Amino acid sequence: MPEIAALKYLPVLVAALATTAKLSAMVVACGLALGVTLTAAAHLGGKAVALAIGAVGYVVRGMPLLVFVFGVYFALPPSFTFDTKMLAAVVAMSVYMAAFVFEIFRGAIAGVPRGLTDAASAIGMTPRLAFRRMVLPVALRMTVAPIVNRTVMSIKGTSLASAIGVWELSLAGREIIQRDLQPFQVLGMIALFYFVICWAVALAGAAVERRVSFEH
Amino acid sequence: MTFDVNYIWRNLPLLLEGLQLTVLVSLFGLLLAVPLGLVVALALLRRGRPENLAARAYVQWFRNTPPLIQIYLVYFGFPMIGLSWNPLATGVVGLAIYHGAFLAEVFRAGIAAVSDRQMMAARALGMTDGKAMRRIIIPQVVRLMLPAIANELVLLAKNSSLLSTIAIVELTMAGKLLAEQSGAVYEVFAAVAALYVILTVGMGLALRRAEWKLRLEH
Amino acid sequence: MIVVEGVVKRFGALVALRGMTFEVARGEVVCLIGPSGSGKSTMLRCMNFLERYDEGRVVIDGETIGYEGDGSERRVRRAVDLARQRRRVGMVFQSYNLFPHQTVLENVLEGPVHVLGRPKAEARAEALALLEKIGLAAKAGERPARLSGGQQQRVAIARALAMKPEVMLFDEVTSALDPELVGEVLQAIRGLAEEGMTMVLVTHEIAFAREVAHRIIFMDEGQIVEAGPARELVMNPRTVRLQAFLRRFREGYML
Repeated sequence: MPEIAALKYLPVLVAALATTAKLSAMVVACGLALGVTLTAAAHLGGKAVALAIGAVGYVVRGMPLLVFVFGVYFALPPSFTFDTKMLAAVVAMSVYMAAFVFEIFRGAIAGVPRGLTDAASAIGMTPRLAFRRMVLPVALRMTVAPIVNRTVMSIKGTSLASAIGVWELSLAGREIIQRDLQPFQVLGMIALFYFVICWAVALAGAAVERRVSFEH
Repeated sequence: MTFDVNYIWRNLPLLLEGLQLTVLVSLFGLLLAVPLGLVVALALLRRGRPENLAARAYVQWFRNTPPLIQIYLVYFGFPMIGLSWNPLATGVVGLAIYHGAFLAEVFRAGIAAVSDRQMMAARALGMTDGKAMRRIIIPQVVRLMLPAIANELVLLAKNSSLLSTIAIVELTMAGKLLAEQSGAVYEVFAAVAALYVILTVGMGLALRRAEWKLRLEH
Repeated sequence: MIVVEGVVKRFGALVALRGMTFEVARGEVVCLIGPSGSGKSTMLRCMNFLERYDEGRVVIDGETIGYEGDGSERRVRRAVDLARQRRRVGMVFQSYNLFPHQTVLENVLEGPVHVLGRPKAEARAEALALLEKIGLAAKAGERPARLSGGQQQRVAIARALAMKPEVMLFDEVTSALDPELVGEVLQAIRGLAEEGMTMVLVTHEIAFAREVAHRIIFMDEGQIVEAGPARELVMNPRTVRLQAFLRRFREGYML
């Protein structure tokens, strides 16, 4: 078995992985929470609010995550009391994810077939009750796959925090490569870390999707 | 803090140059990613063959790792094995490898949907399976998949911003340099974001029109 | 019991109903037949205000459906009021529209428990009895997706009946079914007719309409062309349009 020279960097990479994991967890949690909040606000706040959230979401989704990260980072005032880089990364990536989460929920709710709400009306449900008991549960099941997809995207996206100097997996990898010239081994190891996380999320998502499928 | 619109106008040519490169890189990336995706999709459909396993591994691996790492791999890795290209080609290849994996899945589903019905008809006409694939299935799939390809081009344009990390002065890098140099952060990033939004929305519209034309002609 | 009076429905420039007038007595079974696009499904959907009619009125037991007030004062009822009115009218759809995230039993329980607020145990016993009656008690715990079209449609009938409606509306309930599954659904409807349920059906099953309905209304282009006792109307059509419609139907049937 050939010796893997990059193994000596394993402790450093594991330390960087911890940052990536922490960043991912915060982004996914905040992104989901904010996305759900925006969906609820658009639903309850009337037409103008829905239109405004929709328009802002459209613009945010239209730009690259990296540009959004740069924008937030450079716009934040520098601070000595807390880690501005990490804050900028979490804020930018959470808002970016929320814009997609909002669109996924909006689309799923709009995609609930007319026949279902007709049937709910026909047994005497008010629109509000029909929304709570029929539209929402059906729409939520439709969102599992795209939400899992978006979660994987967000985790991969945390690699862009390296561009504003957050020391996580990608930045650690870049530093090592520029010192040691073992790009295939080092990047392979890093990619493997990302792969294991994303793959696990995708598998878990597929399991959830099977559980909530209408045939189950 | 004030927002200086004139500053944007004065430096717009610089940003537009970056935008030009962004468009170029995206188009070349797509040009490479589509055939790549198609080849992989065909392999995905051949169950039980060795190339099937390779194709599945490729798709899963690249879908579940960051495109940034893949661009690094090409950028830092290729010179090690004696391939020293210019960074631009490197970036295009890196992007194409990533997006090819997504397109492969899209194409696979499209081919499967079309071929069930159409393969029978083609066989009934006495075509071999290979010929049926080339003459009947793939032309239909490409037309059917046009919206998905358009969507992928938009994603490619957004991901091309990653090339700023390997010193390619596309739109994001142009904006970053300008912002660092002048400190006019709000102005520059608002302009960059606006250009990206215009670009992605424009690409979507243009391709929808192309698709519409195709449909009218057939 | 039901009075439909001069009902007009427009979709933009298109006039789907051009002044429909007919009555349905308590215990009567009335079938609406006619070519596709004749407005018969629209008429049915106006009867529980799933579709908002523009002029005229639908009155069930003396209460105007969907609107309150009169003349220029007339306005659409509040959502809560509309919901209350619809509780008295059961409806079964062409595409079943079962609640996909619920089991068969939950589908039937949804109305009594969550709309009428009845105790669950009591409603459950009744729901199971209903499922027993349509021969699907064994499927109570299944999801709709696992059922055949005919079974799903029978569950949809049970779901509507669980509300103890005074009127049942059937909107082409066999049109989406494979031919061999049509019989079981028609059998369930025939059973209801024998029990004296007031029903209005939109259907393409002319033979069934002739056998089960008391009266048939033949519609074309949003108007009633011919109406009368079921058997007589099918055997001796008076208008040219109904004659042509029945001839086309028979030819199709022979094929």
